Amino acid sequence: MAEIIERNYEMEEEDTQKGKYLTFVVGNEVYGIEIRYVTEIIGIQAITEVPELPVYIKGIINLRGKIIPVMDVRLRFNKEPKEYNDRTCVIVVDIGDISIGLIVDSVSEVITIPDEDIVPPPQVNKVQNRYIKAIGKVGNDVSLLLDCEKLLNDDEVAALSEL
Amino acid sequence: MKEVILTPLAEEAKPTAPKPIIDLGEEIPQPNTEKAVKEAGKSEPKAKPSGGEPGVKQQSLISVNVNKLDLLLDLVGELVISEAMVTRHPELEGLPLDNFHKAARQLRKITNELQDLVMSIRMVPLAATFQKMHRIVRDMSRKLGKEVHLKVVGEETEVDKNIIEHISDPLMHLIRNAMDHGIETAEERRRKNKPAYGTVTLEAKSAGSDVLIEVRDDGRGLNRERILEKAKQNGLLTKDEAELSDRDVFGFILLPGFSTKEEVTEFSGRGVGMDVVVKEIHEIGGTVLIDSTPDVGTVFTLKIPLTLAIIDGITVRVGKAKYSVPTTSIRESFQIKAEDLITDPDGNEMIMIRGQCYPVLRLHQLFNVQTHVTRIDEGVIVMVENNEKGLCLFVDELLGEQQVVVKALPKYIKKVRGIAGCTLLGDGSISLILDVPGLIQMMTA
Repeated sequence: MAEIIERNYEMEEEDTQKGKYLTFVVGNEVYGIEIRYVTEIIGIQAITEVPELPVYIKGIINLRGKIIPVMDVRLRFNKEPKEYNDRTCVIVVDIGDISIGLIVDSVSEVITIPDEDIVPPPQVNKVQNRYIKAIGKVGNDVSLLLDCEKLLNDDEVAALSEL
Repeated sequence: MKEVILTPLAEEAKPTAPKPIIDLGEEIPQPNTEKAVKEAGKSEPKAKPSGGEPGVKQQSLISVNVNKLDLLLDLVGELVISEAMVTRHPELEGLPLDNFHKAARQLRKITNELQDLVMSIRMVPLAATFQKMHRIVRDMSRKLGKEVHLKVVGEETEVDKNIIEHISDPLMHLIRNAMDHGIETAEERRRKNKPAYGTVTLEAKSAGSDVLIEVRDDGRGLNRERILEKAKQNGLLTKDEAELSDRDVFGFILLPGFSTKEEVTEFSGRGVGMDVVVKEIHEIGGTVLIDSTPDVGTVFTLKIPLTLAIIDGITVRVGKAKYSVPTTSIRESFQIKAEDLITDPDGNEMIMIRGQCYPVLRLHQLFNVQTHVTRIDEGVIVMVENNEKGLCLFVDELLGEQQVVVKALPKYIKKVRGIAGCTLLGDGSISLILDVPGLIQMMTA
């Protein structure tokens, strides 16, 4: 009996982060990012520009002594740049051994999307939705679930390292 | 005679090398009135002199993961910044807070000491690395059938932990080289009226913010003619032979695949190695110098920075961006008049200083920064140099000098041309550290 409880407990421990997504808004769309990638959310900070980077990498910030790059998700998705305001947030994510800040219009909430509500993105011939891993249904809305690795690792970045 | 030289060297080196520890020992008790600390401070310098002889010393050591030290360093850096943010808070301005300022001064003193202490924790004496070399010399002596003595001087010189890791292999290689190529056979040595045994000297000494490590042998020295011949065969000669200085010629042996040795032994002669040594040393911002006199010996000098973690830097401003230039690479800074600027037909700008012409690099153009200061007489020229090559950087203004903690750029950004790293300034803002050797190479290559 005790064993079963323990096993259940362990499973719960493992699964606390599963199916949870942090949703945020960029432009008109709601995006979701798996919560296990997210370390923290901070307001917009003074950004130090670094030369020779692609436009969507805005520069680096000082996060309590740690220096991390910040990426403007708007620019990453080739949308119009927008002035930062007090709703603008930086979502600090840890992907692999890379910490990076994602600048988004605003952060909404943490929601649970069960697996059955997640559908693969429609097959479009264009490469447009390469950053979208899947689409989650939340009530009547949809949220585009981001593929974090793709967001970072890209031919463009590879080209950058060869500079 | 040799022993006479050796003793003063060892004596000299001793007070300089453990200095940070003794200094700290003496400094800590001053702000703290607790007796316990005072006693600890007193007992430490006493224990030090005996620390040189093994057996007598009573050391209690713990090994700590370097990552933890890095974290500690980061945290202390943060502490220093928050201290400045609190004590120089704008809301305190103009208030009569004598006692507050007194307390704040005390806080500042302690945080600064804490920072120095964390820095000194990372410093490790070279002794352990040097000890390893004894074995190599012993093993190789036996295998090569040459009697070679290793003399170690200045092993208590301390360098940063990160650097220690990078110099062990190069040193090993240089010592092997010295024994295999440098030191002659006993017979040959007798003919040359040298003692039958060869001597390899490994000497470390600090010189300002650098540490010099010399690997010196009393062997046959480098053969200028042989090296030149080999260089010619490999098509490395670009200048006239007579124009090349000894250092230039000896520099060839640092190139990949270069060996004048006809046969390959177990230890050396493959022509791989010296280039690896150079690469490793360059990686930590050091340089390799070679001096050699026929039949007297060869000296390889590794000049390496004391620490990678901290540099003295001058902070300059360009537009809204701030950059730190390592103070060691700055020769001077000055303002010039517009008419001093010479522009060649290609649009390259240069200035003449004391009969020498230097290229001018406008940082705002290089890094594409918006600034109002574009007229040469409005800004400041900072002349930097590396390996006797000079370059004039044009910046908006100088902000001041301070010690900065070097941090690498985030991995994701990788390498940016002309930037060596970044650092946090006292107000929490980030400044980019200029890669002076890189910039100079970029402009002169």
